[in-house]
Amino acid sequence: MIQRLITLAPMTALLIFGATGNAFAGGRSEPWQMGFQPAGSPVMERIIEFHNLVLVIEVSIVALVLGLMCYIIVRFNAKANPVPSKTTHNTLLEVVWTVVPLLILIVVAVPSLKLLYYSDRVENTEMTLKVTGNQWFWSYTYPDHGGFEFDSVIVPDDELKAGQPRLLTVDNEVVLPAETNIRLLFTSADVIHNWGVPSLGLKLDTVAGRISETWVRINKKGNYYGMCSELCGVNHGFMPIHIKAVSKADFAQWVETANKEFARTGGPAPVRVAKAGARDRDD
Amino acid sequence: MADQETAAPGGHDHDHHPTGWRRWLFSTNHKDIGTMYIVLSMVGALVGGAMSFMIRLELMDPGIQFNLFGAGEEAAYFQFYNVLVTGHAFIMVFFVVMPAMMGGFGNWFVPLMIGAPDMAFPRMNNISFWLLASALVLLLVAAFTQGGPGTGWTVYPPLSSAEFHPGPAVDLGILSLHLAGASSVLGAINMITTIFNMRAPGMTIHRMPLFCWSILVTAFLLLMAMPVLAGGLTMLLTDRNFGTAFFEPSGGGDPVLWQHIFWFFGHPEVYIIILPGFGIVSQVVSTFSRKPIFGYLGMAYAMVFIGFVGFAVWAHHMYTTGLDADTRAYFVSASLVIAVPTGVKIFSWLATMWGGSISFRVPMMFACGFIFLFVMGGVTGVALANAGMDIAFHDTYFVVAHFHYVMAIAGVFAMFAGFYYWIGKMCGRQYPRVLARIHFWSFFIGVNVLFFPQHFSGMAGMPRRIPDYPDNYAGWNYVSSIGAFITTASTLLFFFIVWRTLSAGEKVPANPWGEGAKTLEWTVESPAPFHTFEELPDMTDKQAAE
Amino acid sequence: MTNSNTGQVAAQPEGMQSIVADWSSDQRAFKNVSWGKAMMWIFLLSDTFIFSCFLLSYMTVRMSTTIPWPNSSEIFALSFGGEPIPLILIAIMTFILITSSGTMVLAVNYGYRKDRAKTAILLLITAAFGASFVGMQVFEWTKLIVEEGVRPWFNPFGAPQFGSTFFMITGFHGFHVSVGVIFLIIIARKVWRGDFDKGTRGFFTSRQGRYEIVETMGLYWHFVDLVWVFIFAFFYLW
Repeated sequence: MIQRLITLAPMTALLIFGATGNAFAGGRSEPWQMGFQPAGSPVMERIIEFHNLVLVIEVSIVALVLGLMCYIIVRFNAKANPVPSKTTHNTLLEVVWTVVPLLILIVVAVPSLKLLYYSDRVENTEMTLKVTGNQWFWSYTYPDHGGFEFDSVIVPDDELKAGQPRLLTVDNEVVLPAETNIRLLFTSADVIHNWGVPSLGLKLDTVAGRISETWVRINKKGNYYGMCSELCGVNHGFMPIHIKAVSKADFAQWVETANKEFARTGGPAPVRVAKAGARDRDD
Repeated sequence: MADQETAAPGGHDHDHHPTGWRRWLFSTNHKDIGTMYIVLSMVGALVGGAMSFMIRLELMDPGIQFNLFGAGEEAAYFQFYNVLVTGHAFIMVFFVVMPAMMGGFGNWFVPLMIGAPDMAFPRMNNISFWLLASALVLLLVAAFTQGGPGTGWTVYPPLSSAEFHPGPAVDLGILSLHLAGASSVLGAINMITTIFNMRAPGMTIHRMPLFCWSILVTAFLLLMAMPVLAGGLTMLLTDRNFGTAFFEPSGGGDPVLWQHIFWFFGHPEVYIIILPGFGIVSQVVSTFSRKPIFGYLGMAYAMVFIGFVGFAVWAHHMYTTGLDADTRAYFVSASLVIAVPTGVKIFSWLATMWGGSISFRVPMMFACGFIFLFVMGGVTGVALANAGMDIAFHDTYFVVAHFHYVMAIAGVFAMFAGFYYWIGKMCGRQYPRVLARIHFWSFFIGVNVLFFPQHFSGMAGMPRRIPDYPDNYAGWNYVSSIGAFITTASTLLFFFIVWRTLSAGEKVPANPWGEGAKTLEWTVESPAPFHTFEELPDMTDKQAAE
Repeated sequence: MTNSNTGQVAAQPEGMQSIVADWSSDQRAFKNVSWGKAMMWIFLLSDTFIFSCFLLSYMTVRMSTTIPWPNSSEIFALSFGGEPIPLILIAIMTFILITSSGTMVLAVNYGYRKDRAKTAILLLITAAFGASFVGMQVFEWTKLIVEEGVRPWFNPFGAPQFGSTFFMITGFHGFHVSVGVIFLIIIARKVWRGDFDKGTRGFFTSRQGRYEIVETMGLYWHFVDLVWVFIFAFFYLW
């Protein structure tokens, strides 16, 4: 069984990759991937750029320490250096290795804080998507488009169709318009979950009793996958996220059909009222 | 008041040498209690290691490998998996690293290094140990009660509340942590009083070995961090059982309040784990380079600074909970600052070795390994400190890789360095040299194969705490599990080495390490006699420690 | 060869110099502080953190409550002759606890003067004050639980968190006071019997002529009093 899965996996990956080849060549991980998934949003682009800077610094520090260590091992082992020196101080050195790291950290901190504020909010959003975490699926509400709501549940392995990635396929995808600034609101109906979509640089906890906010802009049409990123019980690994980004026109059309398909059967609106203790958006 | 201080504390009779089970259950001897802590930590390592081994077996291939409870009972198995994840973390943190370093090496060597006959409160020392042993039992009971606590070691409500974890498992876990916390606080009080008040004549605070400094700072961290955990745990307990709603949104509470409380404890906790390791590495590097530590004051106060600032950075574990951007900006800055004193320490160790005459005995190999591997783990920590980038890393295997590098690799290397350095003093016999080198290399290779690929999985987007993953993550997970096999084999070799040392190790003199070993423990015979320093050594005319 | 103990230093430097002298000395950092006292200070440092945790959580909960918080003056009022006097019980309790700190100070003083009778009596008076504090707290709890129906999860006055924070904070504090009362009685008995003078084997008594334990106990008692002041201010007066 395990053997078959291993041979099946690369074939499946190939099929899916082929299927979405025209739009965005990314949106999920590749086998043996070593870096970030390709960026699908401006936030993720900046994250990758910032990471490139940090990676250079990380590698340099590790290489420096490794290099010094190797030199020390060769030059100062007991055979090569039978008489140890008695040096225990060097004020200049001590000042340098305090100040230089501090400068490096400032070089890191400035773009870091810029990235933080950029990813937090954007001024003009054109629509809102509300995401609610449940055990163990996501529900999505479109308050600006009629307030319809639907659940997005994982498709189990034995019901997958050919080409659908295991553990990432859902029955109803989240359809969103590309090239649009979208405001995202999060809350939870039970325990803490986390809506994480790596290729879009999104990750925010969904907490019962509060509404968290961030934003996203999906650059190109395509399929973007994510997974729940906060331990939420037995099926924590089995509540994926599948975003289908389409053109603005296609989105408008989809909204029409969605309003009918997910129409409420009467009764009060299913919008989840913030529970007591929820904080203001501006906090 | 004059003769109190040199008289034994509490009227302890120095001919007092109990035997049989009373020697261990009613011990008031810091060496015996230290030994018991080390044995406890080895037991914990076996249990915690078995748990992580099962996790790696499950994650070796995509799909579910073990349907332990039968077909159709997947939920029970996934709950069990979450309990493994939870138990593995609790056991490694509270019942392996802390008892080995603070309880084991701390109890054994702090009195010896400062020239004290025992700890300040020997009977309280014993209570600390037996509280911890009870806590371990309680935790294991919790794991097997009605599904067990499948909440992660962070125990976040609402998942840990009565609604989503009914039954006594989480309550038993909370009580276990209360006991462990009490054990730690009492131990911390003991260490602080001993170090402040029982140093030998001539041993000023600035001549004390750096290992004692590390224990002192760790003790203060324990003193101030554990009570906060205890407070939070009590509130969680009342939420679960007495209808309060501190963390319950429907009652007006806030789950994020728990996170603040937990991480206010949790971040100093990780420094509690690593600081004694820093102390051990300082001792070992200095001994085997035959040079005093470079920049002693800088080293000591770097540890104080790390401990201090460590209380001000807790929310970098909470970047995705919806905190205000300005709040996150503060925590980014504070977290980055901690890299500075840490860097001072790394460079000071290298500068100690520079110009030295280094013999690469096994303790030194582990200490050098520590320095390199801690830097590797540390730089990924600098990456994670950035809230903007943490969006990509949070709750992925990148975080798992980071904290395993600093705790499970570097921390454990420090523990092994301490073991190989001090085992001769503790039992009078030396470790088998060739086997010990094989242990070093196999462990080094094993843990790197285990944890390095997890950086890749994390960057590719694989979340934490999942029993199964989308197929594209299979490659690096397989490699990582191979590393687990190697590490497990290496650890079994270590236990064989322990047995071999105790049963057939070469007898060892008071100081097997030569002129580089300048601290007081090397002036007493090996194994150290039951009572040492019944007469205080005089350090007044000796060279300063630096 | 044991060096003569440096615990007795002839001329103690003052202020900053004293701190430097302590920190740079060998053997003992705290020259005039016995181990028991040092230990108590260290323990109180950790106890501060747990009370702070509870008080800060209470303040967080109170600041974010959407249902109005009950009015302390109304709830903690007692009626005398038909007129409700707000916070009267709390005022009496505070007065008693602070007075007990006063009697504690006197007990410590007489202890160092080895006046066993007065010390024991003052310790017992302190314990009595403490016990009556706890008794009044129990009365308060009974009144709220039985008559007013306050529970950890609900109360008829307002925000449900009021009950949980009230019981948690005052319960924890009351527990500390009760433990203190028990210890005060134990120490009072030992003082009365002269255990400290004889140096008999036992808890705290094996060092002849040492009445320091009374002062250490005093430290704990003053801490408990100080915590009450904070609780009084933050919980009842806010």
